[in-house]
Amino acid sequence: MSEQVKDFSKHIPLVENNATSAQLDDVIAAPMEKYPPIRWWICFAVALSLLGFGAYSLIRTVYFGIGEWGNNNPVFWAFDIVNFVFWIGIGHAGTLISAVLFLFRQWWRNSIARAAEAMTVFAVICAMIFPIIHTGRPWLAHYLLPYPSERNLWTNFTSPLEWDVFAVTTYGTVSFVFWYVGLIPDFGVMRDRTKITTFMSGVRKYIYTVLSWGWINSNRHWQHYERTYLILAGFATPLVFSVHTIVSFDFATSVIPGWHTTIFPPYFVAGAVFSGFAMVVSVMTIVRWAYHLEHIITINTLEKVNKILMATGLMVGYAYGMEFFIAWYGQNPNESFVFYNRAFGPNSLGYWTMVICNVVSPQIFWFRKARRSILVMSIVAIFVNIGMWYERYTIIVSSLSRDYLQSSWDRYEFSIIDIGLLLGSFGLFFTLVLLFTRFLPVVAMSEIKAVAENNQPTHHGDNH
Amino acid sequence: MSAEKKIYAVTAIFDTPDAIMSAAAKVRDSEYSKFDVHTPYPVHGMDHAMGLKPTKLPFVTLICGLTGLAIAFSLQTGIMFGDYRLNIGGKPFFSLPAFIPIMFECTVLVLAHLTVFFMLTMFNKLPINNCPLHDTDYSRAIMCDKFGVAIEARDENFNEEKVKSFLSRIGGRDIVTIYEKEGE
Repeated sequence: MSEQVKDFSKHIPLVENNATSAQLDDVIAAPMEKYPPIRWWICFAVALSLLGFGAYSLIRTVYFGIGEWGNNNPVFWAFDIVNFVFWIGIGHAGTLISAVLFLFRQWWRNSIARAAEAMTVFAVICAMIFPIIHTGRPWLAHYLLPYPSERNLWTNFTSPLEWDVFAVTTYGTVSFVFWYVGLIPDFGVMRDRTKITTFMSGVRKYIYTVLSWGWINSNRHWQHYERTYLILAGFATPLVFSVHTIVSFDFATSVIPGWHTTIFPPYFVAGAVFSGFAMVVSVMTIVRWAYHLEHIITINTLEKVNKILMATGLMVGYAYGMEFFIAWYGQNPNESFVFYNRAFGPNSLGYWTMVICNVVSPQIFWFRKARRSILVMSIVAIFVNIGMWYERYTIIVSSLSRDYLQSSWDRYEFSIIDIGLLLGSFGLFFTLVLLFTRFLPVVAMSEIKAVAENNQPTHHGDNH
Repeated sequence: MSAEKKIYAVTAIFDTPDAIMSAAAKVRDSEYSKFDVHTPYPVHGMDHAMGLKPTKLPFVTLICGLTGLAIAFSLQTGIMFGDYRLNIGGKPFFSLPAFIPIMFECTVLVLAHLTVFFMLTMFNKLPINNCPLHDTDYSRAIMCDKFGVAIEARDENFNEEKVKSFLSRIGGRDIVTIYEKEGE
C-alpha cells in the first residue's frame, strides 16, 4: 500500500468525486449502521430458499446415501466433483485480486479486494461440502486427515486426492486469515464509530472491540502489519496457483482419456481465474449500485476487471483448441475419440454451451463501450459462470461415460437431488455474501483511504 | 479532572499527511523517544520519518515456514517410508516428488497463521482493549481521517506543560492530556 510512487494509472483517480476520508467511512459503514432495505430482504429470502432446497437435498443424501444422485457406473464422479471444481475456481479471483494484484502494485484492486476475498472464503466453504459428501459417509471425513489412530491406518501421501485435502484446507484457512488481517483496522474504525445508545449497539461495539484486538492505528503497528500483509500476499500467490494445479492433478494423474494431459494445470488455473472474475463482476455491479459505491468501485476498475476476464477467457479458449490439436497430433485413437465425442457426442450441447459462453461471449470486451457497460458486463459474467460450470461437466462426465471399454459405457442423467445441491450451494454462497454486505465493510476502509486523492504526502520523507 | 489521575499521554491532531510527516520527523529529532504517530492508513515514508528500524518479522516468518516444511517432510517420510509402507503400483516408498505438494502447502499453512499470530501478539503487543486512547475524541479522529502524535508519560523527559508547548510549536491542534483509565 505504501509504495505507490510509480503508479502508471496515476492520472485516473482511484476514488472519484474527491471524496474525503470521513465521507468514505460514512458511505462504507452505512449498510452496517442502518436497517437493511426491503430489496436486501427479498434477495435474502431467495438465497435462503435456495439454501433450504440444498439443505433438503443434503439431508436426503446423508440419510439415504448417494444413490439419491444420478451417478452411475462408470460415471462415478459427476455433479459432486463438478461443483467442487467450480466453487474452488470461483474462489481463485479473490486471492488473485488481493494477493497477485497487490504484488503487482495495482492499487485499483483496493476497492474490490475485500469483497473478492470474502467471496473466496465463501466459495471454499461451498466447495468443501462436495468432496466430503461424495465420500458417501461424511461422518467419517476425518479419515482424510493423517492422525494416529487405533486402526494403525495412515493416508496415502502419493495420491493427488490427499494433496487436495491439504491444498484446500490450507487455501481456505489462509484465505480466511488474509481476509481477517485486512479487516482488523476496519473493526477498529467500526468500534470507534459505534456509540452505545441501545442494547444492540452495545453488543455491536463489544463484538467490534473484541475483533479489532484494540487496533489504534498506531504507526508502530502499521509497520509490522504492512510487512505481514506483504508476506501473506507473497505466499498466497503461489498458494492460489498450487490449489487449482493440485485439483487438476486429480484428473491429470489418472489414465482416463481426455484427463491425462499435461495442459491441465495451467488450463485449470486460467479457467479458475476466469470464472472467479466473472463472479466478482456479477457481485460487484450489484453491490456498488445497492450501496451507492459507484465513486469507489469505479467504472475504470470494472473495465480493468473485464480486461482480465477477456485475457483469461482467451487462455481458456487456447486450451480448448490445443486439447483438440494434441488429440489429433498425438494419434491416440482413444484420445481423439474422446474429443470428437465431446463436441459431437451425446453431451455436445454442454460442450457448445461452454464454447459459446467462455470463448465467444467475452470477445465483446474488445470494444471499450462494452467493457464500460454495466449491462453488458453483467450478462457476460453470467454467461461465463454458466460456461465454466459446463466446462467441468464436459470434462468429467463425457470422459467417464465413454472411456476405453465400450461394454462399460453408460449415459449420465442427473437427479433432482443433484440440482438441489447445486442450487443449494448457490443459496449458501449468496446467503453468506448478503450477510457479509450487511455486517462487514464491503470495501476495505483503510486501504481505500490510502489511495484516495491527496491522502499521501507530497514528499516522501528525506529518503527519496 | 482530579490531580491524582495518572497521565497516559499528551496528544495533538494534524490535518494533512504533509503536516504529520514533518511533525513526526521533528518529534523523532526531539528529546522524546516514547512517542507514537497515529494515521488512519499507512502513510508512505512514515517509518523513516519516525526513525523506526525495519521490522524483524520476516525472520519469524522464515522460522515458521521452515518448521512447517520440516513437519510435512518428516510426517510423510515417517509414514510412507517407515510406519506404513504401501506398495502403490511398484512406486518407491520414499518418493520426494510426490511429497512436494504437501510440503509446500504445510509451509504456507504454518507460516501464514503463525506470522499473523506473532505480528499481533509479539510485535504489536495486542490485544490492548484497555488502551486509554480508546473512546476519546482523539481516537475517533485518528481512526477516521485525522493524523495524530502522542507523546507518552513514560518518557523520561516527559513534562506535561513542556510537551504541550512543544506539540503546539510543531503545528498540532486540539492538544489534550489523556489520563490512564480508572481502576486499571
